[in-house]
Amino acid sequence: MNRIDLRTILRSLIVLVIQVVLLKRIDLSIGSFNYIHLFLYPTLIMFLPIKTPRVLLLILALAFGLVIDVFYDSIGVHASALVFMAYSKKFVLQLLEPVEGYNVDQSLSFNKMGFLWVISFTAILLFLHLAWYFSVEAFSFVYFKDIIFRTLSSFVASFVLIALFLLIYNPKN
Amino acid sequence: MRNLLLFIVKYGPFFLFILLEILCFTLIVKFNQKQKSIFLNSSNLFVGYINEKTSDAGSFLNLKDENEALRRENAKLLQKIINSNISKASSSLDTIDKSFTIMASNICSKTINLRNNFFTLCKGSNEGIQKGMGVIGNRGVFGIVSEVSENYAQVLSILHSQSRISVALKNKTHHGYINWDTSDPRYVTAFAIRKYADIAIGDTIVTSGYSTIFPKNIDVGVVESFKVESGGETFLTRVKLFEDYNSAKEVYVINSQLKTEFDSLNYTNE
Repeated sequence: MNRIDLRTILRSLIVLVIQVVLLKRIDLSIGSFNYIHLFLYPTLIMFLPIKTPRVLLLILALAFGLVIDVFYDSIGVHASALVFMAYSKKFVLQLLEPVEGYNVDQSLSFNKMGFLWVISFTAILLFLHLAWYFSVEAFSFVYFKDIIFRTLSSFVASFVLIALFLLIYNPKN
Repeated sequence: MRNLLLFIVKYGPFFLFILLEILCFTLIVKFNQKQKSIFLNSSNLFVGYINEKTSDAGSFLNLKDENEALRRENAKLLQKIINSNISKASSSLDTIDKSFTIMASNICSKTINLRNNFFTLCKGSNEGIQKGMGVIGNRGVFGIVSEVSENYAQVLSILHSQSRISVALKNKTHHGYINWDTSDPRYVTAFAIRKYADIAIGDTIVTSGYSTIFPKNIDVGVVESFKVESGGETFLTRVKLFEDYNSAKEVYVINSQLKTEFDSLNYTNE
């Protein structure tokens, strides 16, 4: 049990470091098309065990988000999106609930949940996260088209990245 | 209490979510220049919109006062014009400068279809209206105050069979008086203009200023047709009035400062 928690913490740290050290510096702009941003940190909340209490989940989301924000110089924006994602996690789980239900101790890995399940789970949550994030970043629905562009392009890029990450770092149990 | 606790437990994550989002947005607006400026701008827009609407509503409620103030202003300007005309005409007399004062008033009630028409002003002796003062509208002469009570004044309309107002042809020397023939409230008849007068259709008829009731050159109407009175020395002139007495709601009361002096002279002559 402790070992799992330790692994989770370690994995969280790695993700945070990758996000703020590496991904932040990667510039995927093609000419003036600078809509692509890479997001790995949503996995921090996505793949916390199902049994994590929602209140704890929300507080963790705020904490992680603020850490990211400190490095991105955008206090509150990432945190807001991550809190939103943490809140919607339960509904997405309900949406994708298998016929036999979830095992309380279940981790959300390919092995346990199946490839397709993990992919759709990740995709929905990532999309929600990005849509919220870019809305808050623009802070006005005047930039509606801009928000859509950024969300979609970042979604594709980040989704590929997260899929790779999950394949490389596949949480057992 | 138990229910409250259950409620909190059940919806705790939701409230926490709302709370955390509020916290995040507070942080965003506080620490991010771009979002801050958008927030301030749009809140200014919003507040500005609200302010504009409330002031619109307020100004609608104030329309009456506003109107009153404007009419008072109008009266003052009218007074200036009339008095400056007079002082131009007789520039040597300084005293004449203040010879007319003008006051705005509403019409409380009126008739125009009777043989003898009166109308009532919503101001009376309390506001300084006295018997014998002239009443004019925006476009012409209305009548003469005939009775005054504390808060109302009755005005003998120009559309009264007994009204006689001294008039003249504008920019010409000949003068006469007008009287209503009691049929059409758009027309009056001008009498006593000498038949050698240089009159033409379309000439403007104005007050003569020979009485102290009306200042000189207040518009009355325009000559529509004229003919020599049968066997007489004067024209019968049909005059189309400028003022539409049916729709008029607001008038100005003219007070001549020199009236008492003028009248006392006339009385001694009688």
